[in-house]
Amino acid sequence: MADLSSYSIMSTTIPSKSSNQPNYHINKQKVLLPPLSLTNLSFKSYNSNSNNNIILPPLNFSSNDNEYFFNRSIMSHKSNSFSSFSSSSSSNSSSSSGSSSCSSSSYISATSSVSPTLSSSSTVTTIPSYQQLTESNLSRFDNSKHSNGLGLLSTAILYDQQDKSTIQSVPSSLISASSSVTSISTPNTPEITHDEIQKIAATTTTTTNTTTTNTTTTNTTTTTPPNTTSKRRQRLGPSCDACRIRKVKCNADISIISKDLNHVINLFNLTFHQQNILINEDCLQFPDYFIIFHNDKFIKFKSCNSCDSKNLKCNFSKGFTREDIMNNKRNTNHQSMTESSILWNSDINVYDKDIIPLSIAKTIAAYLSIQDLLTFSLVSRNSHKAINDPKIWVSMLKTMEVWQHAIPITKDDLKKNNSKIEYLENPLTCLDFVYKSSKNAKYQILKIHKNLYPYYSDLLVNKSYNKLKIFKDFQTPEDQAKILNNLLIYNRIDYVQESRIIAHDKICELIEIFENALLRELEIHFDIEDYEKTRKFVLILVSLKNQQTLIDFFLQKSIFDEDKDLFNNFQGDSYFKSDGLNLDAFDQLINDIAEVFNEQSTIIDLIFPQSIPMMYKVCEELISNRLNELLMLLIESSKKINLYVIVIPFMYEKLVTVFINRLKPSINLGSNYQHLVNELIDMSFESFAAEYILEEVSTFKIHTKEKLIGWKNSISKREQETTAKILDQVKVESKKDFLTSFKNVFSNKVESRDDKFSEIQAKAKILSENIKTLDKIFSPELIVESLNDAKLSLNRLLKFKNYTIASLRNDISQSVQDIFVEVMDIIGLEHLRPGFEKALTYLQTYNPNSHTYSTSHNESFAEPLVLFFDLINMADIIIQMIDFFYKEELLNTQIIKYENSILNPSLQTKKKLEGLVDRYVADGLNIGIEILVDQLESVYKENLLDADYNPTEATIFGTTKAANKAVKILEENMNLLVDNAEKSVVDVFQQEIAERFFQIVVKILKKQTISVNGAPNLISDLNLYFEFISSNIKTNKKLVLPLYQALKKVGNIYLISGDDSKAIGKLVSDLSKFNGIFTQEEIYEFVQRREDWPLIKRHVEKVMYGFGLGDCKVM
Amino acid sequence: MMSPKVIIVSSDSEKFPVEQKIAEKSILIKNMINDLNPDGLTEDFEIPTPNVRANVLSKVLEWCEHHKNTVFQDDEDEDAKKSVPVEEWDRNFLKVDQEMLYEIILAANYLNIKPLLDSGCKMVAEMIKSKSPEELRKTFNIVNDFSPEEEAAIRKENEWAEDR
Repeated sequence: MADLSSYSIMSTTIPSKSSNQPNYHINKQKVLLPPLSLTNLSFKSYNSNSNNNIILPPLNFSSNDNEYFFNRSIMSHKSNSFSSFSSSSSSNSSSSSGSSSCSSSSYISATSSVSPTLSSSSTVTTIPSYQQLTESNLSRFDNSKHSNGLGLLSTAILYDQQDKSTIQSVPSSLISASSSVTSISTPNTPEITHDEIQKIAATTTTTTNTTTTNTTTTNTTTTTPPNTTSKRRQRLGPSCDACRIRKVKCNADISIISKDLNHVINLFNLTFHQQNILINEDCLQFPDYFIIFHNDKFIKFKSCNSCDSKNLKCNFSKGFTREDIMNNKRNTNHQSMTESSILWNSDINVYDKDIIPLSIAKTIAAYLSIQDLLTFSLVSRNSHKAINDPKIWVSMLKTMEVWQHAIPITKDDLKKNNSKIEYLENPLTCLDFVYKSSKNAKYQILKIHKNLYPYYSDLLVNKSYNKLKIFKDFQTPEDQAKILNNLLIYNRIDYVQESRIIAHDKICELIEIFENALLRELEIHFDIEDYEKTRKFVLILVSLKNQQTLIDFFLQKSIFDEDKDLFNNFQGDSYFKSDGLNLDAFDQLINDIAEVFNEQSTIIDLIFPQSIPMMYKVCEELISNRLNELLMLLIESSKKINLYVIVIPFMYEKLVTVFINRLKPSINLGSNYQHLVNELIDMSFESFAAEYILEEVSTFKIHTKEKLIGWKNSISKREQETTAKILDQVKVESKKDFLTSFKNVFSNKVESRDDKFSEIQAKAKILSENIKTLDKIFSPELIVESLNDAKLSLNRLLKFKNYTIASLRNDISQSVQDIFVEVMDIIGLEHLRPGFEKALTYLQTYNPNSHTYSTSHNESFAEPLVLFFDLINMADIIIQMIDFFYKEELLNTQIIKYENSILNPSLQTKKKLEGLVDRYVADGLNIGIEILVDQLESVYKENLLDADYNPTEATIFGTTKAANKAVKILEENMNLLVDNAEKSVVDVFQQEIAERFFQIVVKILKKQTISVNGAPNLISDLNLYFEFISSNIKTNKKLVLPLYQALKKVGNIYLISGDDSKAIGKLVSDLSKFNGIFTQEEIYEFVQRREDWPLIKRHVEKVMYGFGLGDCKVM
Repeated sequence: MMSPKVIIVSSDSEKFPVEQKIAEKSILIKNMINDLNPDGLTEDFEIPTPNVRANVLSKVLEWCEHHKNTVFQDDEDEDAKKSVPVEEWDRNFLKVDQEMLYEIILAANYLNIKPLLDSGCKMVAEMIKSKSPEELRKTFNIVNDFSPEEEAAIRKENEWAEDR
C-alpha cells in the first residue's frame, strides 16, 4: 500500500529540526490540560503539529459530527492534509469541552477588526491560526481545473504541511499566521455562548445589511464563521522585498503575530533587552526568524529560500500584508466585516448536516421554481444565502432569452432610476426592458414573477378558456397577444417539469386559437380592402412571432387565389411574328409584369411592417414560379420558329433592365429591392440561360460551317462545270485525232486552234481556269459574314455578362471563347486550307521536284506565282480581320481577363491560324524558288558552252549568253514580288533566291574547265552577278553580297598565268582572300578546274602543303 | 498482475477497495491520486474519508460503479441541465429515506462527484415543492439558524413577490 508518509519524506526538501520535537510534546500536554491563559497556545500547537504521530485530541466529542471532525483531524495527520480542519476542530473541541471557549471570541475579534468600538472594548489577543499557505506551495495546484476547491485545497494543505512539518519550531508555529490565510482568533474570554453570538449577530444585522449577517453565521459554538465564496487566490502571501521587486514567488514566512506588544512579549518570552530592541528598532532578530513591527502590528518574518540561497538579506519592510489591504478596503467600504477573518473555512461546513452546506444549497436552489426558492430561503442561513446568489436569477433571465438582449446599466444609472419603475408593475410590459445587472436580476425576476404568476397559475387550473383570467383582464387582441407571449416566455423558467409541460401546451393551444381568430379578422378586412385594419391584425400576429402563418396567408390571398389573365391565359405564340419578335407585345408584357409587382408592393407596404419579409416572399413566388412558367411558354413558341437563341437573351435583358427600372420603391424591401429582384431573376433564369448558352454555341457552329461549306460547294460545282466543258472538247478531239494531240504534248506546243485540247492540256487548262480568279479560292466577304455572325452570337451571350451567379458568368465567357475558337477553326479548316491547297497544287505542277510536275501549262510560271502572292495578301487581310475581331470582341469586352494566360484558348487558336497561313506562304514561296532554280539551271544547261570559259580561239571578252539569260530571269522574278507581297516576305524571298543562285553558280563553276584566256569571260559573268545582286537586293545585303564577292575572288584563280604557279599556290592557300566563304577543299576543287591543272598541280600543291603530292614516295 | 486498488476508508474505519477508475468519479480523490502519484499508481492507495459513514460510502461507491463508463457532460451549460429530469436509474437509486439522501448529497459534495450531487439535489428540489420551511427543516433535519428577527426580515423580503 502506498504509504503517505513515504511520500512526505520524499517530497520534504527542508531539513527537519529534531530539536523541536521535545517542545512539541510539551505543548501537546498543554492541550490536554489547558490552563486558561495558555489555551490558545496549546490549541495552536496541537493544530500545527498534528503532523506527527498521533492525535491526542481533546477528546470529549459527544456528537457524531464531532467525531467526523475528529476523524478528519486524524486523517489530516495521516495524510498530512486537512490541516485547516484541525484548527477548526480544535476550537470546536475546546468549546465543547467547556474548559476554554475560544469560538465566540473569534467572532468578536473578527468584528473588532471592523468596528472600532468593539475592538477597543475587547481584550482579545488574536492568535493566528498556524496554517500557512504561500504562493509557492499553492501554485502547484493552480492548474487543476476539475476541483471545486475542496480537493485542491486539501491536497494543497497536504503539500504545505510536508514542507512545514519538519521545520516548525514550536513557539514560532504558534503565531505563524500567513496574512493571506489571516488569523483565526482564539479568544481568552471563555464563556460566550451561542446565544450571545446570536444576539451580537442580530445587532449587526440591524445595523448592517443581511449579507454581512451571513458572514458572521456560525453553526454551533465553533470559531469558524462560514466562508463567503472562497475563491482560489493566486498570491497567497506577501512577498519579501527582494521577491516583490523581482515579482517572483516567495516562500518567505510572513505572519501577523499581534498588535499588542505585551502579547508578543508573553508569547516569545522576550527579555527586557529584547523588548527594547523591538521597540526602538522595530525589529528583533532570532536565529531563524525576525519579529518586526510594521503597519501597527508585529509580524513574524522568516527569510525566503530564494534570498537564503543567494545570501541576500531578506527583508520585509514595505509590503502590506493581506490584512492591511483588507483593512484598507474596509475603511472605504464599511461592509464585509468578517471576510478577512476566514479563508479556508469553506470545508468546514461542507459536511455539516445541520445547516445545509452552501454549495449544496446552491445546487438545490438551481433546480427550484421561484415559489420554492422563496420558501427555501427561509430554511436556513445558507439556503437564504444560496438564493441570493445572482447566478440563479441571471440564469433565469438567460433561460427566458431576455438576458442576451438586456440593456447594459451602470451603478450610477441604477441610483438615478431609484423611483419605482412602472413598466415592471405591469404584466404586459414587465418583460419589455431587462437590465444587464446581476445584482438586480433577482429583483427583476421577482417582479416578473409577481406580475405573471397569477395568470400562469390560473392556466394550470382546469377551467374553460373563456373563464381564464387573462381574458378577463385583457380585452384587446393586442394585450391578449402580449400576455400570451409573456406567459410563453415565463413558462421557460417553470422548473417543475409537470406544470411546465402542461402550461406550455395550454399556452400554445391558446395562441393557436387566438391566431386563427386573428387570421379570420385579417381576412375579412383584407377582402374589403380595409388595409388599415388589416395592418392592425398583422401587427398582432407579428407580435406572436409566427411569421410563416402570415406569409402563407398573404401568398395565398394575393397570388394563388388571384385570377390574373397575365399568368393564366398566356399565349406564347402571340409574341412572335413570322419574321421575328413582336416587340410591342414584349413591351406590353414587361409592363404588365411590373404592374403586378407594383400593385403587390403597394398593398404590402400598407399592411406589413418591415420585419416581415413579405415583399421578398412575393417576389420569390412571382419570379420563380409565375414568371418561370411564362418563360417556358415563350420558349416553347420560339422554338417553333427558330427564334430560341434570340428570345432568351432578349427577354433576359428586358427583365433586368426595363422591368427592374419600372419597379416602384418598396418600403418593405427597402433600398435593396431592385438588386434582390435581379438576383431572383438570375436564379430562376439560370437553367434557361445554361440551356441557351449551349444552344447558342452549337447553333453558331452549325450555321457558320454550313455557310462556308455551301460556298465551297458552289465553287466546286462551277469548277465541275468548267471541267466538264473542257473535257467535252477533249473527248471530241481525242476520238478524232489522238495522235496529233499526243504529238502536240510531246513537242510542248501550245495548241490554240479551234479551242481543242489534248487530255493533258485539258488538265492544265482545268487547273488554270479554276485558279484564275481569286474569288474562287478565298471569299473575304464570306469571312466578314461569318465574323459578323459570331459577333451577333457573342453580343447575345454578353447580355448575361453581369449575371449574379458566378458559375454562369464563367460559362458565358467560356462560351464566348468557344465561339471564337469555333470561327477560327472553321475559317482555317474550311476556307484557308482548301484554298491554299488548291493554289499550291497548281504551283506544284511547275515544280520539277514534285510528282505532280507537268510540262504542260497554259501560261508562264509567273502567272500562278503572282496569283499565289495575291492569295497571300488576301490571307493576310483575313488574318488582320480576325485580329481586329479578337481585340474588339474579346479583349475590349473583357471576356478575356488574362490575355497571355494559357487559359486563353482564343489566343492560342488565333496564333494557330496565323501559323497555318505562314506555313502555306512559306510552302508557296519554296515552290516558287524551286521552280526558279530549275529554270536557272536549265538556262545554263542549254546556253553555257564549254568554249565560253575555255576558248580555243581568240574571242571577244564579255559576259556569256547564259549568264545574261539567267540574270534576266532573276530580274523578272525578283521584281515580280516587289509589289505583290509584304516587304518582309519579299526580303526573305529575295535573299533565298540570291543564296540559291549562288549555289547554282558554284555548281556550274565546278563543272566547267577554265583557261587563262577564258578567265576574263568568267570574271565578267561573276561581276555581272555581283552587280545584279548588289543593285536588286535591298535589304540584308551583308548576308548576301559577301557570297558574290568571294565568287569574284575565285575568278582570280584562273587569271594568273600557269607559269606563276607559286602565286596560284599562295592565293589558294589563303582562305581569307575568299571572305571565309569557301573551305580549303572547295578552293582546291576550284583550282582543279584550271585548264593547265595537270601541269601546275605539283607546284601549287607544294605551295599549298609544302610539298607536291608527286613528292610523296614510298620509301 | 492485479492493478492497484484505491482503498477508501469510511469514518467508521470500514475499508472499501475499488478500481481506480471508479474511485476517480470523485474529483477530490482523483486529484489526490494524481497529485500524490504523478507517475500513476503502483500499489494500493488508501484514502480516508473521515466524514462519510460506511453505509453512505457504500451507496456512493455503488453509484460510481454503475456510472463507471458514463460520460457526463461538462458543467458548461448549467442552464440547459435544469429542464432535464433525473435519470431513471439515479431516480430509483436515490429512492432512499430522506436522511440517507441528504447524506449522499453531502458525501457527493464533499467528494466532489458533480453528477451525483446534481441528481441528488434535483430529487431534493422536487421534494421541496410546496412545502413550508418548517416542513423542510424537519424533513432534512436542518437546524433553524436564523434569529427570529432575521427570519422575519426574510419573510418580509419575500412577501412582496408572493402572489396574493
